[in-house]
Amino acid sequence: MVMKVSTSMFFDNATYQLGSIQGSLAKTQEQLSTGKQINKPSDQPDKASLITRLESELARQASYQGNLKAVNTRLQAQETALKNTSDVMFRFKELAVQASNDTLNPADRQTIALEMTQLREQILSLANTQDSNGNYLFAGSRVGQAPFGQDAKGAVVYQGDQSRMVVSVGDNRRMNLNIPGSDAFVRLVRVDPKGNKVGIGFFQALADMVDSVKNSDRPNIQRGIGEIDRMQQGISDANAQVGTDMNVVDSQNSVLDEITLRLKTTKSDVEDLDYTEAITKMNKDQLALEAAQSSFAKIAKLTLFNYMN
Amino acid sequence: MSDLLGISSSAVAAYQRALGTVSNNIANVSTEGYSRQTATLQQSAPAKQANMYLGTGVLFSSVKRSFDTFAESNLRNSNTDLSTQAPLVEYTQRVMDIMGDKSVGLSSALDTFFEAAGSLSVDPASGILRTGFLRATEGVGSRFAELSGQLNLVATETKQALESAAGQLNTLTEQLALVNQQLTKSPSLDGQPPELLDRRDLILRQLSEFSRIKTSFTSNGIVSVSLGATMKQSLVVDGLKSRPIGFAPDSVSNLDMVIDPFGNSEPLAGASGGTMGGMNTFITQVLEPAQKSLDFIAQSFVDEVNAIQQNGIDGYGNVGQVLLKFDTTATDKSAGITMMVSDPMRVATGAQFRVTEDNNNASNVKAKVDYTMSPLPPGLSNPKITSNPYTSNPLMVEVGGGNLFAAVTTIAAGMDSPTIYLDNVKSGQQIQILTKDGRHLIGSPMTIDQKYQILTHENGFNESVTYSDTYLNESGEDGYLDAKVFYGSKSSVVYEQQFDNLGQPLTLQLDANGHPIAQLFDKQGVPILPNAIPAEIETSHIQNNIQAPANGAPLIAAGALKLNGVPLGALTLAPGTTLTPSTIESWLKGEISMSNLLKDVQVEKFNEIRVPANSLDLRKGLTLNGYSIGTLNLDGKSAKEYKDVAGLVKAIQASQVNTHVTARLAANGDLILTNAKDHEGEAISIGPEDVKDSPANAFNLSVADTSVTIQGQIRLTRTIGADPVESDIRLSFGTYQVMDATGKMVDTEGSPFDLSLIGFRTGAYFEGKVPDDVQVFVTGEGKATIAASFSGKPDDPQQKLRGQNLVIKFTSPTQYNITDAKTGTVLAERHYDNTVLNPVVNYQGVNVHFSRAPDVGDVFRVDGNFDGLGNNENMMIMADLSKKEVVGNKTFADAYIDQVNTVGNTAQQAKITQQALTVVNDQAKQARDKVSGVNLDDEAADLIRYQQAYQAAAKSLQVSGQLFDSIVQIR
Repeated sequence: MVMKVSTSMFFDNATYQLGSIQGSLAKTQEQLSTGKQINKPSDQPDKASLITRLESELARQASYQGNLKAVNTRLQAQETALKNTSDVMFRFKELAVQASNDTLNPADRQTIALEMTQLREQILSLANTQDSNGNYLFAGSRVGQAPFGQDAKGAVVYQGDQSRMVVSVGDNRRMNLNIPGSDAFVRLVRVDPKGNKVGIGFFQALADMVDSVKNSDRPNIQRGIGEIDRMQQGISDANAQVGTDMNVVDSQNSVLDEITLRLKTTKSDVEDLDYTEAITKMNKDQLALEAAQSSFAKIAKLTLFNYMN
Repeated sequence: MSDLLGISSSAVAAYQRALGTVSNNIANVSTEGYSRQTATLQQSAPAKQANMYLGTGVLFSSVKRSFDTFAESNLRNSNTDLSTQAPLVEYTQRVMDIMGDKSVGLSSALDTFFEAAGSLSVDPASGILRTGFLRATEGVGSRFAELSGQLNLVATETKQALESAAGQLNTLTEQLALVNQQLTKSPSLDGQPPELLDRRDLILRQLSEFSRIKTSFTSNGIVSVSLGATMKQSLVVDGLKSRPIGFAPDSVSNLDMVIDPFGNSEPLAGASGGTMGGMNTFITQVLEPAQKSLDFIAQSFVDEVNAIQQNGIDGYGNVGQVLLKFDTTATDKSAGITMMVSDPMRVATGAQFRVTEDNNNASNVKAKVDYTMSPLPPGLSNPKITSNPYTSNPLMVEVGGGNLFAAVTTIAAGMDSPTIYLDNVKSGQQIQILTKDGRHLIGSPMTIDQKYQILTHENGFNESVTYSDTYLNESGEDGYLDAKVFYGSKSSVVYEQQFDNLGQPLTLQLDANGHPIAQLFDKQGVPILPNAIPAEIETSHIQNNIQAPANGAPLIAAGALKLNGVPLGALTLAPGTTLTPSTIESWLKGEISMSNLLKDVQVEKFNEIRVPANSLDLRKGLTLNGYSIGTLNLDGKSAKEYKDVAGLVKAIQASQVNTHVTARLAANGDLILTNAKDHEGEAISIGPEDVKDSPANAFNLSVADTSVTIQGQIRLTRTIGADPVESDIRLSFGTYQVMDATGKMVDTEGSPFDLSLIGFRTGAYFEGKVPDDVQVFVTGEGKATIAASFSGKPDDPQQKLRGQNLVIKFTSPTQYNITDAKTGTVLAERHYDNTVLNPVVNYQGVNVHFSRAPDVGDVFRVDGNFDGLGNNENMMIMADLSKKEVVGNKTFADAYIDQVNTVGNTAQQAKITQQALTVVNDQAKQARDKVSGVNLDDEAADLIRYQQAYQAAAKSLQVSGQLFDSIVQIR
C-alpha cells in the first residue's frame, strides 16, 4: 500500500531533517574549533567521568612530584651539611693523631687543642644547619629549636627528638623525609669504671677529646681516636642514607614521569579530537546538507497545480 | 423528477459543494488539527415509470471527516511517551554539565585539597603551606556550596516549569470543557460539526504532551479526561466541567500535585508521563539522589577531616580542634560547610604521641610510637552499682566455689572520689582494688593463690602483668600517682551550707589544702567562713549475741584495728557474755585514754531507732521493753491509746518511766525512738511479736519473738583541731600476729569483718580523682553486698596519657618498667622477650615499637608531642584520605565521579529513549496523517475530478436547454 504523505507533513519532515544535519555540522564545527571531542560533560557522560578521574589522577601525580622536589631540596641541604662535617672530622682526626704523638710537648698540644675547639664549633654549626624555611635539618620534629644546644650544665646535648618522618611520593611509595640528629651525630658507648655501658653524646665525646689533648691525657687521646672513627662512621652512614634517598628521588621522579605520560596519553585518547575523522564527518554532513537542500527545493516545486490552468 | 434538467441541476449543485469541500481542504492545508473532509455523493431516489426505474440525479449527502480513532489515540500515547523524555534529557544534561564541570565540579577542589595536604606533609612547620591547606579546605567547602546552589537553582526552575505546565494544562482542560458544551447541541456524533471535533482532538493531543491521559467518549463525542490510571479518579475534565490542578497550597518542598488546590482538593493519584511526569521523574530519580549523594559526601568529608584533625596536634601543641562544621541554618548540608579554624597554626599536622631516646642510651635502638584509640570507658563497668551508699538494692557478691575472688567492677580514671562499701561482710573478706598493671592500691595483702587467680588477662589485666604492693593503701606522695586513698571507716569535717545575700545556696569551694575559700564577707570586708561541723561516725546497731571466740582469744585482736593511725588494743569479752555498746564504749575510752594522739576523740553510746512515717500502723499494738504502750484494736480502728502519730508519741512519752525510751517526730514525719536520759545505749525491745509471720506492732517491724532486742550504737566524734582537714576520724586496719596450726606466728591483717563486729562500715575511698583505670574485687569466702558512691565522669584516655610523661626503662635483659615522670610512680613492671625481632611495648594504647631489643639501662620517653611542630604524621593521614574508602567503599573522588556517572547514564539513556520514541511518534503522526492529512496533489486531482463532473453536468443542463429550445422551435 502506498504511504500517503500529507503536504504539511512533507514540509515538516524536510525542515526537521535539514535542522538535524545543520546541528550535526555545528557540533563538528565546535569540536574542530576546540580540538576536543567532548566540550560539555553531557556530550559523552561516560567519557566525561573518565576524564575527571584521569585529571584527579594527574593532579595527584603532580602533587607527588611537588613533594619529591621539596624532599630533594632538603636532602641536598642534608648532604652538604654531612659532607662538610665529614671533611672537618678528617682534619679533627688528623689533629688527634698528631696530638697523640709522644714527641709533642704540652704547649704544642695546647695549640692543637685550640684548632680542635674551632673545628668542634664548626661541626656544631653544621649540625645546627637550617633549611631555607628556617627549619633545623637535624632536629627531628622539633624544627623550631637548634637540635644541639647547651644544657643547664653547659654540655652540648641533643635536644631534638627521634621523629623519623616519611612522606608519600607515589601511590604506594613513601620515603624518608629527615634524619634525626642523633642518627647522624651518633652517640658513643663507653664503659664506666663499674663495667656498665654508658651512652655518650657526639659533641661530649669531641669535647672530651679536646680536653684530653689540652691536658695531654694520653690514654684518653687514644680512646678519643677510636671514638672519632666511630663518629666518622656514623656521619658516613647518615650520608649514605641521604645518598640512597636521593637515588630514590631520581628513580621515583622517572616513575612519576612515566605514569604522568601514560595518564596524559589515555586522557588525550579519550578527550582529544581525531581531526581526520572530524573533517571527514564534516564533509559528509556538508554534502548531505547540500543534497537535502537541493532535493527539497526541487521536490517542493512538484505539485499538480503547476499543470492546471 | 427524472428529467434531464432536474438531474443536471442536482449534479451541478452537488459538484459545486464537492468543489467547496475540496477548496476547504486546500484552504486548511496548514491548519493544525484539521482533518481532511470528503464529499459524499449519493444517487437520488429513482422514479418509476411503467415497469422501469429511471435515475433522478445525484444528492450531496454529507461531508465526511477523515478520521481514525485508533490512530488518534495512538498518537496521543506516543506524544506522551516522547514528551516524557524531553525534560528528562534537558534537565539531566544540565545537572551533568554542572556536576561534571571542571570549575564547578567537586573533583578539582578535592584534588587541590589533597595536594595542599601532601605539600604540608613535606614541611609541616611552614606557615605558608598551613595557610594553603586552610584555603584548600575552605575551597572544598565553598565548592560544595556552589554545587548545592546550582542544583537548587535547577530544582527551583523545575518546580516553576511544573507550575507553568500545570497552568497550560488547566487552560487546555477549560477549553475542552467549552468544546464539550458545544457538542451537547447534537445528539449524535455524525451531527457534530467537524471543526468542533477537530478542536476536541487537537486539545486532547496537546494535553497528552503534558501528562498521560485517559479518555472516555460519549456517543455524541463529549470527552472526559483523567490523569490517573482509571476513569474513576483524577478526572480533570468531567463532561462539561473542568477541574484545575496545581501544587497544594501548603506544600513547600513537596512536588506532588493535587486537583483543585484552592477548592475541594483531591490528591492527583496515578498521574505519570508527559512533560510533567518527565519533570517529576527528573526530580525524584536524578536531582534528589544527586543532592542527597552530595550531602552524604559532604557529611563524610567533614566527619573524616574533623576526625583526623582531632587526632593530631596543632602548631601550639594542643589537640586539633574541629576544622569544619555544618551551618544548621543552611538549606542543606553541602551548602553549609563552614570553617571553624582561621589560624593556620591550628592545623593539626603532628601525631599525638612522641617517643624520644635518652641521650645516654648505650644502644642505638630506634623507637617509634603509635596510638590505638580506645573508646571512652564507662565510669563504672558494672551497671548494677549506683551512686547510693544506702541503696535498698545493693549488689550481691559471692566468693566461693573454687574462686578466691569475685570481680565487682572497674572504675575509670577521672571518676571523682568514688567509695566502694562492703556490707554484710563475712570473716576474712576484703575489698581489693588494683590497676590493670597489677598495682595494688587499696585492700589487704593477698595470698599467692589469690594473686595467681586475680591477675589474669581474662579479669581485665594487661598481658605479662606483675603484682606490686608498693602503693597498697598508701596515700599522697607515697601513693600511686600521688592519689589519696583510704581503706576502712572514716569521716571528715564538713561545712555548713552558706547562702548568699539573695538566698542562693553557695557551692563549697576548697583550696589546694582542702580548706574552704571565703565567698561571703561582712561589712568590714572580713571573710565569713562556713562553720565547720566536727567529724562524726555513728555505727549501726550492734548485733545481738556476739560472743568471744571459743579458744579464749579476744574478739578483736590487739593491733587489728587502728584509730587515726594508732593501733588499738584487744577487745576481750568475759566468757559467757555478749557484746554490748557499753563494752565497746569502755574499750574505746580505755584505748583513747592511753594515747595522746587520740585525746580529741570522744566516744558515746546511744540507741536511735528511726521508724519511717509510712510504715506506722496505728491500728496495731505496741510494747516497748516489755511494757505495753497500746493494744491491738480488733475492730480495725486505731488503738484506743493513740489515734494519731502525735498520740503515739504522747503514749510512748507517758510510759517513759517504765520503758526508759522516749520518742519524737523528725521533720519529715519519721518517728525516732531514743533511750531516755541516763539510759543511753541500752537495748530496746519492741513488741508484740509477729502474728503469722507478719508484724503485729504499730511500727510494722518484724519481731520474731519477744526476746529480740535492738542493741545500742556507738558514736565517735572528734574535736576540730587547728587544721580541720586533719581533724577527721579514720578507723583503719593493722597487722597482728596469730599462731597458726603449726604453732608458728603469722602476720594477719585486721579486716572489714572486725570493723563490722563493732558496727562500723568498711569502705575503699579515693579522695579526689581516680588516677588510673582500676579493678575492684572482693576476696574471702562468703556472700557480701556492695554499695558505692561516686561522681564525675571518666577522663579521655588519650588526653590523660598525653598529659602523663611515660618513662620506659629496661632494667634487665628480660624486664622493663614504665614510670610516670612527674610522680615517679612505677606504673608497670613487665617481663619482655628480648629474642623477639621487633619488640613492642604497649601501655594503655600507646605502642612503642623498637628496631631491636633495647639494652639494659636504655630509657625511652613517651610524651604528648607538645613541641613537635615539624611532625607530619597526622598530615600524612590527611593526605592519604584521598585513597581511603570512606563513602561506602569508595574514595571521596570516586563517590563523586560515580554520582556524576549515574546522572550521565540517566541522561544518556533518556536521550536514546527519546530517539527511539521519536521514530515511534513519527510513525504515529504518519498513521494519523495518512487518514486525516491533506495532500495538495490529492486535492488537485479531486478538484479536476469535480470540476470535470461539474462541467459535464453544466453541459447536460445546456443540452436540456437546447432540447427545450428545439421543442419550442417546432412550429
